Amino acid sequence: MTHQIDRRALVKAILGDRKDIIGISGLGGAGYDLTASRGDHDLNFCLHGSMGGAPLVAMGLAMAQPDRRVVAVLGDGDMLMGIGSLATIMTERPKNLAVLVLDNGYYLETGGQKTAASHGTDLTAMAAAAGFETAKTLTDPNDMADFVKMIQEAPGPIFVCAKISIDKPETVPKTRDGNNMKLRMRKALLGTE
Amino acid sequence: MAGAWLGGERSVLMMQGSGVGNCMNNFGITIAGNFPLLTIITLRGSWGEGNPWMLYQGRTMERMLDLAGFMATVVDDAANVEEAVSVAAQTAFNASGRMAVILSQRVTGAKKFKR
Repeated sequence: MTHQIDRRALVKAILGDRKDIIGISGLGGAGYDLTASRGDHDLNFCLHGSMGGAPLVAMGLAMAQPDRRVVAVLGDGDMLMGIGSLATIMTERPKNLAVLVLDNGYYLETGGQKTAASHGTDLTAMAAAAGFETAKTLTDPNDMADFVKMIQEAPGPIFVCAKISIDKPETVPKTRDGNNMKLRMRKALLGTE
Repeated sequence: MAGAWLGGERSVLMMQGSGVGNCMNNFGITIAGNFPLLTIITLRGSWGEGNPWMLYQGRTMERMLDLAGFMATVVDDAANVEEAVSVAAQTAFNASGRMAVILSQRVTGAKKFKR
């Protein structure tokens, strides 16, 4: 079955009107989705390398900022690279953390090679096996609103694997300056750089 | 570690030397974002090692840390651990340094193997 979820619409629905939520993206297309949802926002931090690291950056933030919602957005290839992070997250179980995997089954950034997700690996089942009590797969666009609300508000840690279409949306301008992203987020959260 | 710092907390990465090899790609975030990083590493594959599989990482770890932009201090006397960690923490968090304190097996003790 062809995956149908619109990645840009999903991320925008989660973060577009919720500028209080901290958004961490993995590398590749996920950073464009996060940036397209609300611009180059102070509470966005987009990794442009460190593949596999986004869920753990989000975990550290969730622990340091327990009153803030933290959402990690990353591709399926990125999640597979850092799959052990799901077990690490379970050692602390931050209630304010949601991990959203945008799963098209391909490494689109490097030319469209199939990931293990295209060969049958079920990332949601892996998250559940790691200990996530809420681990769900989003396949039907009609369920999107319920998933959005869950990712924004339900007690975490939450894992969602969204089966997104293979389309590659237009890129949007965004900073790749890690120091700048760090300083602006610390200023927004802490009042000091 | 980067996430904790973004949220206003300090953290320390504690691992055995073999973890350095696993971390090399992800150390990139500390360079790209000029994040502080303090790590305390127990050094297998060095003094008194009895497992040959550990020797590769023991021999290469300090060079890997150097390539990744760390300043490293090897401590081989338990009496010096506290000062070394305290000084490294100051540079890490006050100067956004990448700092490693390496505890040799003279401090941690070497695992004993029968033959």
